[in-house]
Amino acid sequence: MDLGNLIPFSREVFLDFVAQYNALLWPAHIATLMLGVMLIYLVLRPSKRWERLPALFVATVWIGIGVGYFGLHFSSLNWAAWLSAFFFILQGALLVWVGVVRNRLGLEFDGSLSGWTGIVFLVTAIAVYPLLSLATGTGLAAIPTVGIVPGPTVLMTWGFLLMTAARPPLALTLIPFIMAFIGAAAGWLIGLPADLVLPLAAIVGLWPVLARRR
Amino acid sequence: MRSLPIDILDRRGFLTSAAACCAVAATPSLAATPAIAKRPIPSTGEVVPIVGMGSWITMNVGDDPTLRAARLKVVQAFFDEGGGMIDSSPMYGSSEEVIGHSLAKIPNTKQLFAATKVWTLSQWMGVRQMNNSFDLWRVKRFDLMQIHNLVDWEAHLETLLEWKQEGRVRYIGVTTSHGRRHDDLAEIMKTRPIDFVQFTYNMIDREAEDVLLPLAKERGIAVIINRPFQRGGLFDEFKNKPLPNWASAIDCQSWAQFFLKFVISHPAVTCAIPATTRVDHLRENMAAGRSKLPDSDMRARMLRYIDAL
Ligand SMILES: NC(=O)c1ccc[n+]([C@@H]2O[C@H](COP(=O)([O-])OP(=O)(O)OC[C@H]3O[C@@H](n4cnc5c(N)ncnc54)[C@H](OP(=O)(O)O)[C@@H]3O)[C@@H](O)[C@H]2O)c1
Repeated sequence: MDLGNLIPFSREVFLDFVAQYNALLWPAHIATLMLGVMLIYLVLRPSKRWERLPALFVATVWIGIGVGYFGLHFSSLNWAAWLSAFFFILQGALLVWVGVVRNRLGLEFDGSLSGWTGIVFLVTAIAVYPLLSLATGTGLAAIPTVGIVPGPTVLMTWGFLLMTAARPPLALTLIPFIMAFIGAAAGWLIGLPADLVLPLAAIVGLWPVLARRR
Repeated sequence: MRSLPIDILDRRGFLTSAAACCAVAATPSLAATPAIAKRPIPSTGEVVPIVGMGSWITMNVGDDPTLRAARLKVVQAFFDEGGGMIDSSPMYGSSEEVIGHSLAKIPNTKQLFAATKVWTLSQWMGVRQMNNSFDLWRVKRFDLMQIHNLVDWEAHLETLLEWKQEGRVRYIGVTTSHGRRHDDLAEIMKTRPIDFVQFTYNMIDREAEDVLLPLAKERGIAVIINRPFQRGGLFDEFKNKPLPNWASAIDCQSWAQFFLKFVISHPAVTCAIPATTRVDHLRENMAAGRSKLPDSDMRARMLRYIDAL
């Protein structure tokens, strides 16, 4: 299949779109960044009281991106955004079910490789990925922020799944895995090389998730 | 090596009348410059300018006012240069809406030949999608409605034959791209009453020469050529190479004109639809339809030159 047939917009138009979306949602970025940092805090200082909060946050941003980013906005540039909207909302719903309703996604830092990898992914999502994007020409207005746009949110989710006290159900890894590859392929095709960290994270992240004790 | 002015390209009896190829564009600014060549649609004899405009990626700019204003200038220049056919599709994101927005702001769109596509499964969805295209383009009638990439073509053809009777669309077409489902398209061309086909043809991708182009000529079906620049790939490949010095014999000032003249000089081609985001590129492309076109010997020479590079 000719992948070039699948991306109906240029890099310029995409970055312009992200810049507009950023402007629309500003200053929500501050809140999502703080919540991202809170995930790191909660994994280092786990609290029974706030056990469901990380899953609630991650679920909320998946649903928010599904509805707002893909459904209401990106769908005007790309018909396939409807599919992404569906999968983002589905992932959000799964996270609510497993993490909020059933309380199976509380965080815990056990000093293991998996835990450290999770922290590295979170820091990458919050800071490294946006800086990498800036360094590769994204521009400040279109900076990708965790919880606002898909790329860093997928990265953060891999970090989150690696830091839960119990191994998360594999079903929760499926959509982040696929989205990491779709995001990177699209990014590569339009000239956004920073997105290549997404499949890297998905591959590096999947193994510890699979290998962890129950 | 000879090259022919466009108005005597008729030596194979391809162009039916001098009027067909030499109608002068309405714009006063063009009164002094040669008119863009036109070719007849075989099913009616109506003529269309030989260079049209595509909209994949280039017109998909969403609702950003700056980008919309930039594309408006491209569409404006297209009509100023005597352009007619604009091709789009619901697959191209906001392109149809951006085209509609531009058309509403441009006074001289009389020559518009509005061509879009239906690209969905099921007849019912197709009707909905096509009705939506009328709203997006802000037109009451489409000159050409094409079935995009043969998707559910039998269902949509049924609707379109009815709509043609009712006058909602004037012509019906089917599209594909390079090397995709050429056999199926050939079968449709042989058996169904369609006016247009659209497929890829350029100096590198020439598969259409084998079956589709001769078949279209034989069956009297108009041909729209997509990806005449191989989606810009031809520029990437040849931009650092020199144009041959004999390119001036066919009025080529640039690689773009070299590539485009090769495509539109094929006797079975009705119109090519290069896409661009730039006014200077658009003018360069339109100029290719306003000057000498290569004859068959010259076309062969052009190919030899490209192959040798
Ligand atoms: N199955 C189908 O129905 C189907 C499939 C493919 C295409 N199509 C239609 O055919 C149209 C044309 O195909 P396409 O857009 O894929 O490819 P194309 O027209 O072969 O190439 C477009 C590219 O060429 C560049 N370009 C245009 N004029 C130029 C010039 N004078 N000098 C230098 N660069 C120039 C444009 O960049 P700039 O913006 O920088 O000028 C753009 O990147 C499409 O837009 C679409 O409407 C239909």
